Amino acid sequence: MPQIKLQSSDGESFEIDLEVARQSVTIKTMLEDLGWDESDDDPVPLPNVNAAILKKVVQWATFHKDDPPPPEDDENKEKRTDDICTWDAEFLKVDQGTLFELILAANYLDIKGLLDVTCKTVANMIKGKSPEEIRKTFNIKNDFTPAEEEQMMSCNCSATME
Amino acid sequence: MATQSDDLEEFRKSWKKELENQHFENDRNWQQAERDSGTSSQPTSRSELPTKITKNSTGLNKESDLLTVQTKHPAFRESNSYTCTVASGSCVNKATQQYYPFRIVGNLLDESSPCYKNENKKRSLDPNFSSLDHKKVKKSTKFEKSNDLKKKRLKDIFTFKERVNKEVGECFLDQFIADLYKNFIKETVGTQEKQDKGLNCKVSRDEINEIPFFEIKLAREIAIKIFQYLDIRDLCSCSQVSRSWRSLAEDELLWCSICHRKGYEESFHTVDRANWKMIVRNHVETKRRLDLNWRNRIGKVTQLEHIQGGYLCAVTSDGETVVAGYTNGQVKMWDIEDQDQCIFNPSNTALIIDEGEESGTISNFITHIALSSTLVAAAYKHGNVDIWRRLEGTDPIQTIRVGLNNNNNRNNHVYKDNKDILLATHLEIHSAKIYGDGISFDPMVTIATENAVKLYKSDHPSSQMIDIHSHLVNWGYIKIYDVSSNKLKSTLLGSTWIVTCMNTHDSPTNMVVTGSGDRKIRVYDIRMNHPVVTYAGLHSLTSVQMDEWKVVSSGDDGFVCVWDQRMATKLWDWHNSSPVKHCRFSERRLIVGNVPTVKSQVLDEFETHIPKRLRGTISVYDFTVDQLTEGVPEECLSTYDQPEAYNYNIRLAMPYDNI
Repeated sequence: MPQIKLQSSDGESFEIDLEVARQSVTIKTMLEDLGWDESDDDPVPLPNVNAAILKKVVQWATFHKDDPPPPEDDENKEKRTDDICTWDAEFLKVDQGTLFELILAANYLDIKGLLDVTCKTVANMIKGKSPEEIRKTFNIKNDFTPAEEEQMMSCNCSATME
Repeated sequence: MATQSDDLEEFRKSWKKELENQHFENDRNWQQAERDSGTSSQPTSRSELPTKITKNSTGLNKESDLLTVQTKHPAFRESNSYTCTVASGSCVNKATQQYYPFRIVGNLLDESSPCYKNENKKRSLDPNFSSLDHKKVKKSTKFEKSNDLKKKRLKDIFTFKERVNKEVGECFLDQFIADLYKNFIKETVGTQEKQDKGLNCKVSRDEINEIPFFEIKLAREIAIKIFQYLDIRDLCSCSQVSRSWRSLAEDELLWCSICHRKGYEESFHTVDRANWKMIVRNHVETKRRLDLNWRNRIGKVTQLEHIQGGYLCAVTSDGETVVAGYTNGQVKMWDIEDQDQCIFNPSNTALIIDEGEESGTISNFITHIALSSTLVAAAYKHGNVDIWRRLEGTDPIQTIRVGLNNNNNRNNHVYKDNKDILLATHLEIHSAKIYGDGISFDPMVTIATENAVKLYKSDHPSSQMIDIHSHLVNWGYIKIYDVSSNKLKSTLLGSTWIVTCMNTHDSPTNMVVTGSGDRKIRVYDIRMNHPVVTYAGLHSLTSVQMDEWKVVSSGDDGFVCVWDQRMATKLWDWHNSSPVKHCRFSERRLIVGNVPTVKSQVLDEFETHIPKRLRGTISVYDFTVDQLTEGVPEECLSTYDQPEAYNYNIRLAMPYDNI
């Protein structure tokens, strides 16, 4: 199995299977554009991913290397968030900072499966919460003026929508 | 090092001068400076980081040591030495050119997290703050990758900055250090991502491109990826969290996809399409109005025009279309939405001679009828099944001969599935049906015979057959099979008599509603064996259907009942003179077919005064509001939730009322 070296932003190198690395569309196109072959020993620099996150990403990609390609997004289909597999759920039991860095890394590396599952996890953190609870969960400052809040209460959309 | 400190001294002087001369002027300059400082503080190469951070930490460390003995100048000096290290690094030019005016720092502070301000208030009141801070700063200077530590450090730096601001007054360089430090931390947390994507930390109040989550700001398109998993209610909650969240939660793209997903857009051609949220809102409000009308039985009943020369035999419908078969073999189809109708002709109009029949002939009336999105099929008593296309022609495109020689086939039942109509024999046993469980949506035929349930793949209707069950079907049980593995998944218990009707495909996910011979309607969650709710129904139920909140049942006794699904109470019932053989509701209307029990063959085509009871009727109960409120005075439209008086039936639009 051909191997490829990835270099994180802080200089750490990871040697992984080419098949695993190919799950990242970014890396895949990079290799194709560069005409990479097995004799190349130069590491692929990933300036936007640090070692800790890259390690997590590689761990995820290794586990999911045999997965069928994720289906194309169907606009008309209800987006489900309860279909996260148990391994992923366990894998994503990390602090919020790491979770969001994983989202950024998945987005940068263009790994759809990982991006989907991390976004679902965050969506699950939002679901069923009141605005105040959401603020607490994500440490967000309420920057509405009292007048705006008043207005929101008067035409409370969540009341009319449900 | 000597030249460096000289440089520093110069830098410090120029800064001081700057501060004295220039006070809060020209905001644009500040923004420019801010942007520059933001980019300049980013290290050009990663390898520089370790050296920087060590210098940084020693600088801060000493500085806070000195601060504890309340001296200003050493603080200056130490901080200067730090500035020097940075300035002599990658970004020397910009640092000296811009002088890092402290208002930048102020600007940045404005955007810092809320915890910062509160904590600082506390701190400034605390007499021991300096020693506390000293410890914390010391701790904060350790370079570690843990996020928690990072956060803590960030906070500490803020408090440190604030204190310096208050206590030391003009010690702006300290703020500058803290600011640089903060920038540095920000980078390590992951803002490089954005900067590389061209989304520099521009602070624009008008257009919000970055949505804060915790410590990290996500680019809008990533945040939308998260939000698209939310439903309407959650989006509404999100829009009340903060300004940036509101701008995201009201994103047209999200609401547009909700519209598409719920199939809303078609009926709103005239509405301004730009405001998708408004479209969703309109729909939700209409839906609620409809639910209220359903609950309170506010609606208009119309009867579909009867065919001449035949009695009603079989009725079926989907949301918009009703088809009915008559004793003369004709099939009539109505499109309720477009007020359109047409009649299909049977393939065989002649009477068929059969030795076995008492009367010598078998009339060609229709026993069952089925409807799919493209086809209409009718099964005749004499054994033919005719199939028509819904949109073209009135003659059948295909006729299937089932045959008369086998007694078992006398009772043909036409099933429909998603794509096509197929045929199955259906005998006495009603209790076995298949629940697909979403595994396969291939056209599939289920056949229930006396003692077996069989599954046919519709691609090979004659050959391919999966026999999933060959035991005697027990009365009163509902067995759920996994279609892909042909294995019994579970058995729903609770019914004490034959199950006469059942509905899975209209029900919410995992729900099944059944009507049984013991006069009970049961609602099952298929993940559990026992019914969730049981309603004391009426005898001989012919059809049941449920949605999220209601169950509609109909029976041979002519009653149509609407139940509250969760409370298990009857909301209202509606009596018809003949047995209700077909009853189906859609969001807007309820379609009821009353089929008379006596099917007399001989009919005078010109006989116009056949009593309804004999002829059979198809009624459409329309619950849409607009039709009802048209022309009705405002005062007659009071709602029923007013406690003063029982004003039921005040709506004059109700045709069954006589006030």
